[in-house]
Amino acid sequence: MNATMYELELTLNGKKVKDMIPSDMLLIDYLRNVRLLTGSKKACGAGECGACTVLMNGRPIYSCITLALQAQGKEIETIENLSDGDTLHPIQEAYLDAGAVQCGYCTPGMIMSTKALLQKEPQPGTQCIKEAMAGNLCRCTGYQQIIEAVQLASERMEQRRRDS
Amino acid sequence: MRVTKPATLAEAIRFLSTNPEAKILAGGTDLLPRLNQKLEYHDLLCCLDDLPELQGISLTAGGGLYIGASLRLWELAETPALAGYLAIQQAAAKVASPQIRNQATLGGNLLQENRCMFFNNQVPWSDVNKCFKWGGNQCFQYKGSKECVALFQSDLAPAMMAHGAQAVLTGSGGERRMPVAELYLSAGRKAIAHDEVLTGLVLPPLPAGSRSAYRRWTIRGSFDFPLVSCAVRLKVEAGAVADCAVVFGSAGIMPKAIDTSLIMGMAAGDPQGLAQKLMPLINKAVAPFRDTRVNAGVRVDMAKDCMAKALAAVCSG
Ligand SMILES: Cc1cc2nc3c(=O)[nH]c(=O)nc-3n(C[C@H](O)[C@H](O)[C@H](O)COP(=O)(O)OP(=O)(O)OC[C@H]3O[C@@H](n4cnc5c(N)ncnc54)[C@H](O)[C@@H]3O)c2cc1C
Ligand code: FES
Ligand code: FES
Repeated sequence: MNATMYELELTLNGKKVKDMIPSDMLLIDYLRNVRLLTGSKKACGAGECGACTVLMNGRPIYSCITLALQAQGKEIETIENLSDGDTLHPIQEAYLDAGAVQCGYCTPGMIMSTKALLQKEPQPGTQCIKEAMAGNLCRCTGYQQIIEAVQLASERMEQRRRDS
Repeated sequence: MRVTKPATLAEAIRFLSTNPEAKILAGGTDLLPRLNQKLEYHDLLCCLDDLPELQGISLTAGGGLYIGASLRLWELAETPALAGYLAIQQAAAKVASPQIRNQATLGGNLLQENRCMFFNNQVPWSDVNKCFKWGGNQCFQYKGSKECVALFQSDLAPAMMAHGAQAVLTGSGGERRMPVAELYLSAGRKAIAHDEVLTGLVLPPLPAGSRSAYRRWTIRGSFDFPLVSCAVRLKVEAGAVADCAVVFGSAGIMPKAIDTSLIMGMAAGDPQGLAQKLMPLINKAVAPFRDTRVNAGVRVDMAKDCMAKALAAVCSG
């Protein structure tokens, strides 16, 4: 049986969008192929690596094991929403400065998990960081630099809050 | 594949009863990986995760709690309403990763498919490995077995059973209730009709002096399926055990409760004594299931360790 079409309406990176999509389309495929937001990566397709992590109503989820129609009426945020033009978000900067990016495949997902964590817990301890990042795997960095990047981002964001 | 998203429970049940090929989808974290890996195929899915009737937690007339089946696991782990039902909150907090807990529902957790390395790590184009789950007639886990013996690895099921939870099923014939333990049948089948929806769980009120705990063994500290797990609920009266439930998860094709009558009246201040008394029952409760990670003997030892730790936690208050 062929896929039927579904009228999807959601808030994507702060903007209301509406698209006719096949009802069985995965959220990652909608983001990458329909919306051309190719920052989020499709790797394992089985909820085992975190490369496809996006935020749904502020909480990280795996877009590879979520259907696009499950995002109906919700807010989805992807890595593309973070930088302001050419100015990187402090989390992105911290990942670069801490050497937490090597091949970069896991990075968009890592950064979205970091964003959700720092929204909820602006100054997380190491254990808290490890638990919040447990659903994102990295084959390159060995994780230490990633933990340092989250700490650095937390410090810089705290500094900015104090300065402003 | 077509996917439909009914707006109400009544619409969903009507749809399921007129479309016998439809498969229910809730959070999707159990079903969608298998569809993506082409280990399973469906023509039609019926997506229930946002149904308003399946959300929320409320007090029941009897002083217990009603939990909607589509409550997400993060909410289950964090809601203050469940603070007394510690085993359930500990189990929910341990499932997989934050992303899975944000997506996955309680209902999907209780009704998830049994898992086996010979099936879940399989590739669809292989013609070597036709086990029962692939429609074949053999089990690679237990050669000679007449049916599939894949492990049921839900973390919530043993915790719900230890707390005496009832499942509420709603179908075209109306509503029925059954203890969570009775949802599980042989070979991983679930006692739920095709046009029935698991709408919620009813938890009995917590008697005074009750405590519970959940412990599990995994290879990795997080983001891992349990190798084996144990939920314990204990009621203490005048320093002695007045009531106790011990249920093992990942113990076989379904969670296994053991008979705790042996420890009734024993001193609740001596968890080691309680554990010693119950240890011999574990050998029978935990199926001799080996996989690439642990052999059968180690799994039983881990079950003993989980129970000892859970007992120590409930006895220390
Ligand atoms: C990487 C990974 C790690 C995991 N680790 C764990 C773990 O550590 N512990 C654990 O317990 N689980 C684990 N899981 C398994 C499981 O996906 C989740 O625990 C989850 O709770 C399933 O819920 P869901 O809503 O996503 O289910 P779905 O995939 O939506 O549904 C699961 C099954 O239940 C049926 N169903 C769902 N809701 C209803 C309903 N209301 N009425 C009738 N039928 C229904 C569906 O038809 C389907 O067969 C893991 C999964 C992955 C991918
Ligand atoms: S691609 Fe989604 S978890 Fe790996
Ligand atoms: S930087 Fe390569 S996977 Fe993380």
